[in-house]
Amino acid sequence: MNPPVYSEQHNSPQDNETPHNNAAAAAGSALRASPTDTDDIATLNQQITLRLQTIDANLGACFRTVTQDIIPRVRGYAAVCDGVLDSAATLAALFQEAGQMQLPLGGEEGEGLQQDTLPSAPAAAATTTAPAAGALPAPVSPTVTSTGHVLRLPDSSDEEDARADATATMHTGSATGSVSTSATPGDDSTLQRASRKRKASLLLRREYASSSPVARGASRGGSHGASRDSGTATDDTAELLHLDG
Amino acid sequence: MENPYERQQKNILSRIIVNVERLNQSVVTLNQELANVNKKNKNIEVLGQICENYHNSTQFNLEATGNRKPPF
Repeated sequence: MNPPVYSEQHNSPQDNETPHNNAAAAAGSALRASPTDTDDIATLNQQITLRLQTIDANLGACFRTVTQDIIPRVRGYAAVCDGVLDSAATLAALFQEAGQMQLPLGGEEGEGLQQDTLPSAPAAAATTTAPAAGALPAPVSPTVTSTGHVLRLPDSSDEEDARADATATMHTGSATGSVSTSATPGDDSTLQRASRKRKASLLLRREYASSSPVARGASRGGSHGASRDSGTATDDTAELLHLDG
Repeated sequence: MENPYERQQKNILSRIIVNVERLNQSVVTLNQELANVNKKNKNIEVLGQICENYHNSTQFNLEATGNRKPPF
């Protein structure tokens, strides 16, 4: 490869000379040209300088706008959002307690938090309420009277069950298996439910006549309830009113 | 360097470079702040979805049991 380089080196001075000669010829020709060309070049240079100055000014304005206006407003917005999150934390704690799960409010990834779509939620609620209705002839919410008044039981699990059903439909992958427990309750929860239903029936009677034969039968000791199953609601209310009055 | 325009243009270009560097740094800071805000807002959105789902479930339950009352 050396000979070609040597040959190029040999040729290079000649090559250098020719462009230099060409440049000199061009410069000479430029000098020989009219002064209008130099004026044009000067004006163009001035325009280039002006445009560069405007670019610099615009970039500086962008920097000032971003630094002095946008970032402080975003920080204020972040502070307000933090306040909102703090206020909503109480509600989040409520749902956490109801669903027995953890919400990722700390910025960490949550465990078992999944969202259900709207059509699936009512369907899941329907499936959960159907077995509940089948297991007990009493309505799903015995603590709610016909007037809409919600009776508060001391150890009532009905609201929590309803809330657990509502949240269970949302969390399909919960570790505690709240969905399965709502569909097939364990022995302890059924006993607790029975006792609480008895308490609910007592409270219902205090409000007005109850229409749940099982509740009435459970509270009256079973034997009396079987005889009273046939449309004696008004008699019961009359007795209660007389007793309370 | 004979041409004074070249000198001026080089000065302006150096100032442009400095400004672009500062602007880039401020935009990076802005992006970080917005990412933090977005991350915190996701939790609020999740909470809102939970509330909406609870509302829908309760409404469905009330309609199924026949206890739903019209608004006052």
